[in-house]
Amino acid sequence: MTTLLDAVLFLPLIGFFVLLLIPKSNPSLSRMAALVISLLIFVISLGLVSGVVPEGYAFVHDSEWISSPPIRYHVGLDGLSLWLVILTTLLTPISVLASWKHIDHRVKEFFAFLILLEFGLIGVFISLDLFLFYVFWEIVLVPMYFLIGIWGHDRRIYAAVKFFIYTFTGSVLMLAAIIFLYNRAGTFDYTQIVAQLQSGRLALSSQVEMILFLAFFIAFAIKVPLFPLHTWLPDAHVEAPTAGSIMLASVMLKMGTYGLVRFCLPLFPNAAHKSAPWVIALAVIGIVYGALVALVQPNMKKLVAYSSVSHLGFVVLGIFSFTQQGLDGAVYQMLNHGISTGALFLLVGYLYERRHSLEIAAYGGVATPAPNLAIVFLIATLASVGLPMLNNFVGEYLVLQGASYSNFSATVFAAIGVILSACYMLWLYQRTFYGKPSESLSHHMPDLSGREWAAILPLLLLMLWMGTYTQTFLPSISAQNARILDMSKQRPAGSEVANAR
Amino acid sequence: MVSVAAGLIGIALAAWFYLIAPAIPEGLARTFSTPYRWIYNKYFVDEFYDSLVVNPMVDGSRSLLWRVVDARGIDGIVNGAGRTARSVGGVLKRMQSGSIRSYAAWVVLGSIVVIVAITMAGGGR
Repeated sequence: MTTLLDAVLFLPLIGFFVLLLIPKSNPSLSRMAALVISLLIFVISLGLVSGVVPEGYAFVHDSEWISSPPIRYHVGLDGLSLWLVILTTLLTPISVLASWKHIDHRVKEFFAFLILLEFGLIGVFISLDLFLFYVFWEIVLVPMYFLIGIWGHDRRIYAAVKFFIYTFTGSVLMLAAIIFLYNRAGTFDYTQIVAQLQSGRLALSSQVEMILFLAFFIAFAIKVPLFPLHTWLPDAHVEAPTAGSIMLASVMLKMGTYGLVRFCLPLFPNAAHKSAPWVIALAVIGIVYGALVALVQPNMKKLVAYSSVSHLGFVVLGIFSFTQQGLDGAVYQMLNHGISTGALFLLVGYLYERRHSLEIAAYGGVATPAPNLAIVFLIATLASVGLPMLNNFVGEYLVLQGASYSNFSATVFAAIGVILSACYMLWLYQRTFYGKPSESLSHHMPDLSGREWAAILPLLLLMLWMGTYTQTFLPSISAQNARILDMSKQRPAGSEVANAR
Repeated sequence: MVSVAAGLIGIALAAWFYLIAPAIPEGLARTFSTPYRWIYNKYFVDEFYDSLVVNPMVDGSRSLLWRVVDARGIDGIVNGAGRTARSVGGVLKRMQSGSIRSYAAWVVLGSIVVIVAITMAGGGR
């Protein structure tokens, strides 16, 4: 039976083919079609919100795709994936608007790839079959590779190849682990494998469990990215066009943290618990290190990229605290980072379109000719810093509280990261917007246009909404996280189960 | 009562110093030049923090963490892995030159080496 979720998944794929059919000679039609299609998908995806149930997956569609080996088209939606899907469908039309004037060559292909990216991302978040998940995981790489490689800045080929090889390396390790799991369980189905593990029908020795955990973990850690696997990110962000940076930071990085929550914890709980101390250490190093390196970046996009390393460290810290608050905060922070960093990349893109430079030194005094841009940038800055009433505060607070139950010293170091985030963001703001503008800057710094307002306004409203009324989002997230935590309780290791029989 | 008096005296002093007789504060600043400089520069608290916290943090992050640890260390290993793969491939690709004659020569040479090795090891019995 076809569900609303199927429609939300496959509409982007249909949209991709529709965009391919539009003649190349009519770029404005391509733009308009991409906007209409992505907005339509967003509106339809809102229908998913009311359908999600607290006690399990909704909109489940489980049918055969390939009979041998048994690979199934098994998708479903819960409180964890719901908001990530909405985040994807929201940011796609915003990315379309961000590229409206900025992309002026090979327009049709650009928007086609952007919509194809949406297809892959939604698929990743709703797959309940490990093989299907892997397929979507790799589909995502292809459009992003071309978005960076064709429409990027000067070193785009270097960045695109590095991005592809780096993330591909991790995901092939994951594929090997998926095949191993299939050989033992006889199925690729995630829900069945979890059920087998919980009932003890499938038991992994602690050594095997650790190897499988690491294979999944490395794939996800590269995507997050967790220190020290982060160096592809600054390169990819700096070279990517604005839309690429937005989708990369806001949604693609969440594939990694989503994978940790969805797969690493419930499938390999013992190994996850055993690894928690060093994973938390890496997360905290990433928080402080990413913030310190962000502090000294002369390039705006690199600064925001390193700040992402810092912010995503918080998410990993929350996940590996194995507490309800920590996990809730981590998932909330995934969404927050998507909103606020997406907004920052969008606004940096606005600045770039005006001045054609990403160097902070090329700016100064922007607030004088463009006061609205300055106000909007300030709100996004304060959200990113974690000011109360704005979204990031909620997530950071929950993560710190959850982490303090399991590892207080890590919490203290993570809190330093919050202070540093104020330092690098406010310093960036001061150097860009305050002071006396140069003659050439004043002449090329018009204030926000209607299209630019339309792209940024939804993100600003969400920053406020998510910062003040968490009831819209947190209950469904919490319900699912409670289930994940229940599945992730430490189990007796495989050999012990075998002996007990 | 005392605080109101203190406030009024302060206002009166300020008016006297800066409105009626502006030469007096200049003279005071000259007479007590050392304390004046300290107070004028807010006891150099900002400079103290700059040299103790801000500058070491910024300089250390820039010259050590970013330029050395991140760019050369971590990213150096990543790019080094790519370079190693390429140079190993650069050597191995010579085996696949596509030239049939060189393949034939290698086959002859290899056969001779194998025959010699077998003979020296005591023949193919």
